[in-house]
Amino acid sequence: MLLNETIDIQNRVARYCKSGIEEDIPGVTKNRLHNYRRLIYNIVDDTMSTAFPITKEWLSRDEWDMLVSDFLANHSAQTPQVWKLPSEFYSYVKNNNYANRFKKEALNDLLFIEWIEIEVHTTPDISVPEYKADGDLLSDKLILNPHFRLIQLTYPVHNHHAGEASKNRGNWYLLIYRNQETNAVHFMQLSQLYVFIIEQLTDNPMSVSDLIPLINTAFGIDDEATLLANLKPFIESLAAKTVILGYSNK
Amino acid sequence: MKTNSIGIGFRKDFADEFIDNSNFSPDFVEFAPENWVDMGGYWKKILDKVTEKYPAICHGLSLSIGSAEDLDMVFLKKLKKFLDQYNIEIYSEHLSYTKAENAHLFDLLPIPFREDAVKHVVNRIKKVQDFLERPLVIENVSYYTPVAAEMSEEEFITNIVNESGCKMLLDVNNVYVNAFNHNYDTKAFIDSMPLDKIAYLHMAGHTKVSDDLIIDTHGQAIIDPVYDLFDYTVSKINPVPVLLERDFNIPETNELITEMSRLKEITTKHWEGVKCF
Ligand SMILES: [Fe+2]
Repeated sequence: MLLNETIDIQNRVARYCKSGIEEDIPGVTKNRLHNYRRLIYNIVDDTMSTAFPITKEWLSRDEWDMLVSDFLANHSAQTPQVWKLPSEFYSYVKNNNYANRFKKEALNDLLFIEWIEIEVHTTPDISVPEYKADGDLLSDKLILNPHFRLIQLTYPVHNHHAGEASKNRGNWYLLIYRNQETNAVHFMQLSQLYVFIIEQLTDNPMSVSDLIPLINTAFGIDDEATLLANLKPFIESLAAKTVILGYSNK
Repeated sequence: MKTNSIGIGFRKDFADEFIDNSNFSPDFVEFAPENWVDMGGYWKKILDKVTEKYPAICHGLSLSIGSAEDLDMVFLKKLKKFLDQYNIEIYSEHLSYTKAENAHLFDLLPIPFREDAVKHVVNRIKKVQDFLERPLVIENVSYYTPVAAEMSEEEFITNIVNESGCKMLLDVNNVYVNAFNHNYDTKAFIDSMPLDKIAYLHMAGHTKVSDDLIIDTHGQAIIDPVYDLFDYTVSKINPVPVLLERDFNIPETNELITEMSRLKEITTKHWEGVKCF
């Protein structure tokens, strides 16, 4: 067991590294401890700069530095894996309302979308049920590529500069997916109807014929012919993007 | 893993070279499990290719063997699965702490060189070895200031290695850096290490930031005095694998190949034909 005195000394060193506020620490060489503070600050700053390049460019230098130094000082990093730390940074900034403080309403959405891009890119491989490349659009079950997130934004930061996006408050739905072949991450803006379809397919692979009555109940669209005419190109475009991998009749 | 073999740290910044460059053929690679556990998609495919092509060692970052905190069993479980999955026999970590007051700091802080810390670390090494069902190899770290020390660095390291029964990763550059920063004699320091317990060696470059301070950046080429110390160290120990660490400011691959060849020349000079002594 460590003695309380040793624990206290270790904690003081760590506290100083986090806050930059001097602590009384015995037996240190003059002017050396600050190197640890600087190295740790740089690791956090570099990690966030790499994860959130668009946010960093949008904020002023002072605002960015404030986020990084407040985060380091006030947040207790929980992940042992530094590449996951941007997720904690996003939550910290959101929970502490910097968007209001900076009068930059779209800040949370921008951090969120930059993080989700990393999350989808790195998310552990999920095995996919068996499927075939060709099938019958109406009767075969559609098999989704599981490497995606459906998200809702208040500001359209995915296709507007964040400053502009701040003036466009609304409900924006996005599919962020990892291409099964290239592993690259892409964004696709969706209407609520298409979000609904992807949600249904996620819960349970089904065919377009199975989907139609569900859509009818949820959205009151009973013109089947028009619906099918819309669904077909949508499904085909999802297949081209590898969001739908293929078909199954099992 | 062959004993007289020279490896290099596998980094994303020059990952393609490991797969595509036929002139670049390290004997083995080393990487931090923290950077790869839970990783899917593009990077997992790259890691799979690299570990298929080269034998691998894992060198951890966040175990925080010197912390007062409990060991992170959630991470250790993932780590064990990962080491098993990739057939990793050697797992090394730093003799430092990276977590305090329930916060990870992602850098290697200096453990106070004290008797209670020796006992504490020895205890934790044993726990980790038992859980992972493989030996833990402990590395001497660079440090920029002692903190409340009651013994020398040599005593601290030697006591921990001897009492825990663990193996040691001897970082020759770290010995040079510490000797410079704290006015030691480099060779006397090497002599004082438990040289019969060395599992492998690290070599790296560093950055001199002022007249009296070197920072262990792994961002420059190895300098001649560190090669000299390496030569001295190699002359004193049985053959073991040697790893070149390069994390920042990655040069043309040919420069890395040249550094690895120079390391191999030295090890071959001392170890060629040598089985054991
Ligand atoms: Fe090292």
